[in-house]
Amino acid sequence: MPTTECEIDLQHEDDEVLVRRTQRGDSAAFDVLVERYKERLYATVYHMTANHEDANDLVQDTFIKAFKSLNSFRGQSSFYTWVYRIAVNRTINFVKRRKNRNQYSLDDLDSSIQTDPDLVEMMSHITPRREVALIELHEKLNESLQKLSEPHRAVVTMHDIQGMTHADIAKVIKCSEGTVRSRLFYARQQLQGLLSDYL
Amino acid sequence: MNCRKAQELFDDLSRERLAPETAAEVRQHLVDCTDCRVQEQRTARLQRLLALKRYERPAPEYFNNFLSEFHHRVLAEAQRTGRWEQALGHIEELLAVESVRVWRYRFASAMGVAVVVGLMWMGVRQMDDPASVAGQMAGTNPSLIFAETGSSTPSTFAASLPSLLQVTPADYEPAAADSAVLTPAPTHADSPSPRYVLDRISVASASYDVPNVQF
Amino acid sequence: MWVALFVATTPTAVFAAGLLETIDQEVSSIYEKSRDAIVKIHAQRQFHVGGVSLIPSYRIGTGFFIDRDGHILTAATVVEDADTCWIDWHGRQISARILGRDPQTNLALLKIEPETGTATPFLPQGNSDELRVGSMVIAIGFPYDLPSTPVVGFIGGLDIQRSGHFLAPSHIRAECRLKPGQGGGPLLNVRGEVVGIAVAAHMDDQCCALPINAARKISADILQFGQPQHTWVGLAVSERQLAINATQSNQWQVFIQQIYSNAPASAAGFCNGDVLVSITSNGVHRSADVINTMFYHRVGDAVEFTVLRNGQEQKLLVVVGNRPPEEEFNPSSIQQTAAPQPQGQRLTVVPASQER
Repeated sequence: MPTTECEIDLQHEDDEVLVRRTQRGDSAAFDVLVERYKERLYATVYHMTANHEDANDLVQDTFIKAFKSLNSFRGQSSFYTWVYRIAVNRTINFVKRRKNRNQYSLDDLDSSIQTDPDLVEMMSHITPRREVALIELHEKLNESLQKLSEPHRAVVTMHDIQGMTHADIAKVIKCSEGTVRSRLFYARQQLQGLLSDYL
Repeated sequence: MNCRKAQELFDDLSRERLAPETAAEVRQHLVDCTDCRVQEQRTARLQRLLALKRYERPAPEYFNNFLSEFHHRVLAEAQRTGRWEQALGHIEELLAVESVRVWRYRFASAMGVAVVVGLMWMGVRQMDDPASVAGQMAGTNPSLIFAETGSSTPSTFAASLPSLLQVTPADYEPAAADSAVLTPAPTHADSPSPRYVLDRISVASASYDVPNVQF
Repeated sequence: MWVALFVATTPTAVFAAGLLETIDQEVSSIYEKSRDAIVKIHAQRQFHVGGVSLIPSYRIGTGFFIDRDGHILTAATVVEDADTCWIDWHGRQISARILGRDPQTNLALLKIEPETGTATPFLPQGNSDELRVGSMVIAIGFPYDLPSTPVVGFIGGLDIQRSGHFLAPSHIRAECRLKPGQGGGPLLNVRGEVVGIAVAAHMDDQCCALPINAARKISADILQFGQPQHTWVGLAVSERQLAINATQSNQWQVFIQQIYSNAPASAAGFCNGDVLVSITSNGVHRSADVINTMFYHRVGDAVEFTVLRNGQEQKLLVVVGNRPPEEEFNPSSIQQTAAPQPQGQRLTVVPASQER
């Protein structure tokens, strides 16, 4: 007879176990997966959309889609890669459709840029050609990112912001590592042009 | 090592993912080749800049309601599509599972649980509404929002209600053939708590902007 | 009015007692006369999950008959998405058919089939244009699971705007504290005629009511077309104050900010900045005038707009179209754009079950 002990155990279970349990009807197992990955998914989606509301909706949609189609997940990749792929695809499609609207929601969570000694150190290494306030830099960054096309934005987000490897990215967007590299190369070239004042 | 190969490995070098010998080769190439060195420095600066975005995080409390919002949305989806068997596998198996864990949308056959689900679902639907009430910023149109809050029916009402679903169409003769009359649903032993409807107009924060009217 | 007569003819000593007694009698008699025509409406929606029936959603509100054939007006949110709908009638439940709903005004038109030979009692309709701030109204409805209850109040205002949102047309704001379940109920004037429908509450102690003249128009449209027909011209206008001067009566102006393409107004010859002077014979000073005048026009009407441009008046003719659904309002459909103006918030009706 499952008791609260069972709940605690769920927290430490592997993704595979949780997926199987969900497939057999234990929806609480899916809750654990949601809690486990929500922030990571959110980060990627947010960096691609630059809008917190949209990011929230997209990540919610992603989990709903994952929940509904979990039965067709056969374990060919890890759960995380699978759900991450759903998120990235949804976000790319969403951004494509949203092309004409500029909806940056930087202001409402400005305080999220946490003051951090590493950040301070990092700022000193950037050597901008002129004094720049952190806010302005932040905005300029987001603007430039939004100017990239969606596939390029995705790889830059995943590699340079999220720190994923080429191999993982290739698994997510289902292409070769070579494609990932060349997209990264092209995207960085574009960004360098857009951000030349700050580099 | 040629330029192309070296450039491919820059990312890995900066992430310290290379074997020591390979890393040494790449570094040597950078010393020798000015073009690549410039390129690498540029890329490194760009990456440091981008890494700033890692600090763009909402406050930790931002995600507190994520899971409950997820539950709301799943329920709403269920109401819309009604195709839960895909998600949850076989319902019959589900109903047969012996578990005392009452998760919100666990469709166990126990009546008590069903009523709890019903009540909580009412609560869920109420909570949905504040989200939908928030004005949408696409210009002003002369439309009205009706936040369907109804009343929160506390369980005391449920207890005192007579069974409202004693629908008896017996006395009622269907009229002309062209009037497609709806027949009342069969009663359920577990009659649901009704929601008494009184919509509310949301109170948005006062604005001194002059809205425009699209007609 | 009976109050005025009484005040004029009664000596002060018995004034207070007599007046109250009269109010008591009047309210009771209006309630007694009207209660038969006011019914409790039940709406239920069944959910099925993989062959298992879930507990259905079940809503209760108030409605009232408007003619002897069994037509009922109520609030749209009471009956939205319902699979089955019925009313309590003489101790029995009678099925009701939903003829049409208008999300914009939260109105719904239902119909029951009265037994052959019988006619349904109905509330006489008043003229909501006659209402003034301070007019007395009686709202009647079924609070919770109780029998119908009258709530007496006064009209606090006739609002076109609330919290930055537009109500089309102007709604009645009455100082009536309504309870859940009373949504969709009638507002009666002191003669016992329906002058409004309680469609929403505001801040708990105010009632927002759709004027009966508007409800008449919408239900006529529903009967004829199966759905409401809201007018559409294709202009976005704003209002501004010319001079804050008590002596100037026409100190407000309505001017055109945007003209939609693919709309009735596109080829009519409007220019941005034109000041609207009148629509047919109705003068226009505030945005409210525009909303209220256009609300009562029908799709297909040829409407003459008089605009002021560069000091000269011009008359432009527009054939009114049908308002497109909300999703079609996007910037690309705007033909000309003036300088960006701050925009208020748009209210849209969101049925509780709607998803994005």
